Amino acid sequence: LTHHTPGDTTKSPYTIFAGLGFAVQESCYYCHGNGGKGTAKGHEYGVPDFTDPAFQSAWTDEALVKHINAGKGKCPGYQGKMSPEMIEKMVEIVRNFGSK
Amino acid sequence: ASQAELCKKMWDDFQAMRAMTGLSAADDSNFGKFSAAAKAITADTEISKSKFATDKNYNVLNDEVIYHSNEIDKAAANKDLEEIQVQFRRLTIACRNCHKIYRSELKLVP
Repeated sequence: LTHHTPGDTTKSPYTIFAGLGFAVQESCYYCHGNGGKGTAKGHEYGVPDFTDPAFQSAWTDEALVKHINAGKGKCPGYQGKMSPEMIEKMVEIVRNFGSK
Repeated sequence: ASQAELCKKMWDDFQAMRAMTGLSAADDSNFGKFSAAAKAITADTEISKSKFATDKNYNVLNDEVIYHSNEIDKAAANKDLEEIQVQFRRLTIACRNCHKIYRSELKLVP
């Protein structure tokens, strides 16, 4: 995975996860917020809890990259909207929710 | 300090800086206040990390707040008002990132 070094927030994947550059409904935090546990709207759509060890072990990095690229159901596909490196950093964020 | 007390203090420091970012020129007193507020935000964010971190992302988001408050402190030492204003905008984004990702439905400001 492409690792993110914390620093300038204008280059941070967290700024994208928190909605910069996307409509609110297309922003990750809109459904996957509350520390990765999911918002009320996200639970309506059936989002998983990223902090759940069972979720973390059920998904490989490759499967997460594929899902973020293609999207599914209410979750938009980000291929072409985010660079491959940024998508890998998004996967790192998903992994980080499940680890101290 | 509880999380609410910490947030209140950080909000006051943030407001103190915001009140000065519209200046077209600054004097030593302003630079001193910027530096003091930035140092306070750095210290409080370190407390936030050590007391309330739930996962790795929380730490990274707090590190990005610290990065920009340190940059403000450095710019204040150099008496560089423009750089302070640039870094304050980025500090605002960094704070907002953490609020949106962890307190998504509270619509916190910033």
